[in-house]
Amino acid sequence: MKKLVALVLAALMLFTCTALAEIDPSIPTDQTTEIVFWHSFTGDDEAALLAQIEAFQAEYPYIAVKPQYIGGYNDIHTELASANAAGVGVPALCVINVPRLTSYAEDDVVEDLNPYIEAFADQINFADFYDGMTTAMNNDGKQTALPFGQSGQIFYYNKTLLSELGVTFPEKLEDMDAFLKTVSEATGKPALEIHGADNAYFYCMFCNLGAYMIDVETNTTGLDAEVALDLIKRIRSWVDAGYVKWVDTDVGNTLRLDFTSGATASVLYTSSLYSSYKAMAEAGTNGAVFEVGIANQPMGITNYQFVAGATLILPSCECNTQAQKNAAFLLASYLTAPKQQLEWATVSSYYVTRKSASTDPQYAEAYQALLEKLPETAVIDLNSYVSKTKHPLFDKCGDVFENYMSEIMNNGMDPEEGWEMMIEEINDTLADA
Amino acid sequence: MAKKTRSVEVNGRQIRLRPERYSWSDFFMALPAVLLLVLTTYYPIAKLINISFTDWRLTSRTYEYVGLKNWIWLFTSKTSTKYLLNSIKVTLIYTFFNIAIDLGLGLVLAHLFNRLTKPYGAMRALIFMPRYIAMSTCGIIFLWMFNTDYGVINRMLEWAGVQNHINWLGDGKLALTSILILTGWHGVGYSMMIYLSALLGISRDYYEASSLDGATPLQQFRYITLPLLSPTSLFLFITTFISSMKVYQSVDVMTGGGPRQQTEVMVYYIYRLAFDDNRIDRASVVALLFFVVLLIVTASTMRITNKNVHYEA
Repeated sequence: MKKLVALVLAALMLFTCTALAEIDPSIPTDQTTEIVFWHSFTGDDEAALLAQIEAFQAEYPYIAVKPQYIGGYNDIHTELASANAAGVGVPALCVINVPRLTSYAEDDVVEDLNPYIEAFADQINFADFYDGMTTAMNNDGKQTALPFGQSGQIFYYNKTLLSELGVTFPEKLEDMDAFLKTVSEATGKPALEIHGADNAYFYCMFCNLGAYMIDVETNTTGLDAEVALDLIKRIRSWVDAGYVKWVDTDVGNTLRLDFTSGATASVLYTSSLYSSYKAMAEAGTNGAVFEVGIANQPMGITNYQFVAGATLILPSCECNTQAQKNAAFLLASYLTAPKQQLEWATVSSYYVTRKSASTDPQYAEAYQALLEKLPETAVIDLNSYVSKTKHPLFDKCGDVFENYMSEIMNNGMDPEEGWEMMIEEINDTLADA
Repeated sequence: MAKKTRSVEVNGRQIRLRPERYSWSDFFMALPAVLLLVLTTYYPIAKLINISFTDWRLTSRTYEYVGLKNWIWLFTSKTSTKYLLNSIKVTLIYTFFNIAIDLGLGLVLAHLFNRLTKPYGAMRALIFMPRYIAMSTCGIIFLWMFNTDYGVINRMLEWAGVQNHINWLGDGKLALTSILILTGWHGVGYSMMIYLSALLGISRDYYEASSLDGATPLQQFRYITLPLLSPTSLFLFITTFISSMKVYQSVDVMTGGGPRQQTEVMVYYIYRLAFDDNRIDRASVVALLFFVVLLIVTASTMRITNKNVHYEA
């Protein structure tokens, strides 16, 4: 009898939970549902996005979208947090970057998209997204965002120069020394420039050697591993030898100018610049004409690549009606559909977030057009993309990491001393939560 | 309403003054301004005090009262004391040098351009012009100028024989100097104009009389100009002091507080706590501390310097 009661109660609880998680997916078709969409895109990217929104409105004439450019990710975060605190002016759909999602999920400021994914299953085909991307946006079972303007931390290299020198860009970390030495000595210039102002770019190399920013179990940093110190010393030796330039100020301008003028053979930066780097290098905008190649993060004991860039969230503010939230999700589904993603990637160089885009014959033509415009896209294996450690203090610890790396690489700080100080400061930061 | 009768003594005679009259209408006339002040100044301060006793994260809609937890964190946590003391140190260094540049260079420039002719007017306008440009715009321009490899400053140094490119914004020892160059360039024209107007207000009689007594130009500057400029200097000192303590924009655009917090001024630290860490509760205790420090330092500075100010020109 007891077992029966327990079973009935469990079934009731399950039913209640399921019922609570359900949403009414209706959007009135006899009146216009207005939604505000905050984004961070400018120039050609924005134009392409607005064209897709126009097309969406033509398909769903009862939904009116008000796209608003707010600024960069930090600007959007500030605006969103302020609007959220005030409880007014919160957009129905919003772009935000991956690292913010953990705290957004913890503070319940975003809708759990699972009920929407279920309700709009026909429109979204959620399983078609790359797993690494959706996992990065899943916090304790709560799907906090959809992958949209996704990018990675990749190496751009001067393909023409490397062919002339008879070398290929290394696929393994152990081959980096020989590559850097050969290219630097042949050109008399740094073989590689690294974005040093954001740990997102160089952290992957540490992870692929088994050194992680945060060990969640012990709430301390995993960068205290000897392999991390060894890698720091190794990079410093590259910098000292003139093989590598660690760029930590005015990074965007410096990397662009150095790479496209031929002042360096390769740079480590965001994949979303492929289109513009390629155009500049091919046109010889800054004095050097060459073909641009792309390489993934070099393999260590693992071959992880990290997900970064923009995501689409539905803020959970009650100032938006359920119909507005449904309309926003419908727009998000539309913008992340394979067809739209292929169009968007061709203009913006962001990754296509759908597996079927490259495999389903119905998209073959569009995929071919993408490869014709951005051929090196094929080099990127999005199946190897994974999520970083999800921790609300990840970014803050990352700030400490990049600060000490800059001191060691550019300001002469002793690598071992800097590494020890860095570990202490990250551990203090984690203890201070 | 209340009536007060006062009397004063003039040439040994007591003269009764007309009683001051207050009426409710006076109070109601001032009420809109008072309400505006309460709403825009005192209410936010009260709210800030309130938030400092909560655990409110910026992204959270709810909070609980946690008593003095944030204040205890401020003075006991290893990271907070480290970052707080660093930001106070950086702010004070910045303030000291910014005042020195604005007031010192402003005074020198005012003397150099103290001629009421058209060419001098044009030159004065050129120096004052940066003041019209938004600090964020200036910051972006200087970011380019200070670029290690492509910046015009390193190129000019290269022509002058300095071959090693200086990492102006990435080197902790130089980053704050670079910001001071920007803010000095932006602000010195204003000090120059204020000093210039004060210089024109000093009667020529003092200089003529001192010349007859054989005073050298340097002595005239030391014993006439400087003392008679003291009210202007005090005004500029207080306004520059307060604006320097509150510096934010130039730091945000040029260095973002880096490298390694070496340009992280107090306002930037508050911003970082509130908007990067989402800890509006912790940001509010630092902001309150900053408010109190600013109040005490400004009040004591005025008290000390007021004694050395000569108001008769």
